[in-house]
Amino acid sequence: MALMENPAPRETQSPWEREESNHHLRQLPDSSTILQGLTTRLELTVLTTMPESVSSVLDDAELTLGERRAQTGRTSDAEKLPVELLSFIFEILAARRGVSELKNCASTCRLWADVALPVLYRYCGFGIFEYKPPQPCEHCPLTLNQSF
Amino acid sequence: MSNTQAPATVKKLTLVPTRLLTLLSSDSIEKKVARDVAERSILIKNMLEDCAEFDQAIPIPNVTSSVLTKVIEWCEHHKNDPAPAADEKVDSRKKSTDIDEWDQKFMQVDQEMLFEIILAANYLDIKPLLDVGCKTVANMIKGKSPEEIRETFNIQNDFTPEEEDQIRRENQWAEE
Repeated sequence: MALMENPAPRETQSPWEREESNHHLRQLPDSSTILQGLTTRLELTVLTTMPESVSSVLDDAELTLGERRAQTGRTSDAEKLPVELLSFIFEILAARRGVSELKNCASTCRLWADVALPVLYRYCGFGIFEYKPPQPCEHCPLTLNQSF
Repeated sequence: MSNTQAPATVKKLTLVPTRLLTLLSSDSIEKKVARDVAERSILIKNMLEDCAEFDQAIPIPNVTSSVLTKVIEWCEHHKNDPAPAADEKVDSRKKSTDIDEWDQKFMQVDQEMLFEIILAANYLDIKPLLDVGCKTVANMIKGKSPEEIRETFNIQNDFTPEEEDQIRRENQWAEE
């Protein structure tokens, strides 16, 4: 009876109590969540920094260069290629770390600039934009700018 | 007993005819091609899988006979190549820069034919041929100034001086 009124402190906790006391641990973001957040922030930064001329290619990506230039009456064999294939060629150049080649392509004509600049930003833009750490999470004792 | 069976087996194998398909180009020229060669094209392969028998010519409306001849030549040379893995990443395709010596010679054609081959490979879904074509064009661009690129591909400079300057300024950050 005395034991019932003043129960001795238990050394072990029940599973649900242990889970409750570890609640703050469950609030810690795992590495994939942190990486996802970082990637999203980088992408947002890139998108906000990209000049307006770059995004115009998205509006009429299904047209061939020749169709887009039909009104000028000029023809080139390269203009037969749809934008997606021209972009693929530029991506081959980018994959070879050909930054100067991509810049030269972008300086060739307006249409090539429309295709080459997004590739240039996509392949070579990461790492040059300033990283802003996110706001610290109220549940999380650690923030991203602290070392673990 | 075994001596009498062996020649019969050999005879049976040699008598199996190679199945020929007929492809009909956009200019209504028929081309006979072995089925395994034609199946380098994923488009044709899927068509053949969907339809049990193809007695009539298969129309290839976007490809002329001269281009189709070149594409068939490439497919015949590469008919025994392993099929590219379905999960092969596009990045790995772009990063491999090497072009087979035979392919380099195959791509030594005038620009009109080169771009027609690329378009045909894209339409027929022959990824290795598309890669070779696009890498050839990338090699033609590599190391050239904007003016040289314009000359190579007969492209007219439609930038105003202000636009050219703007492109240069906006992308100064991109350095090797």
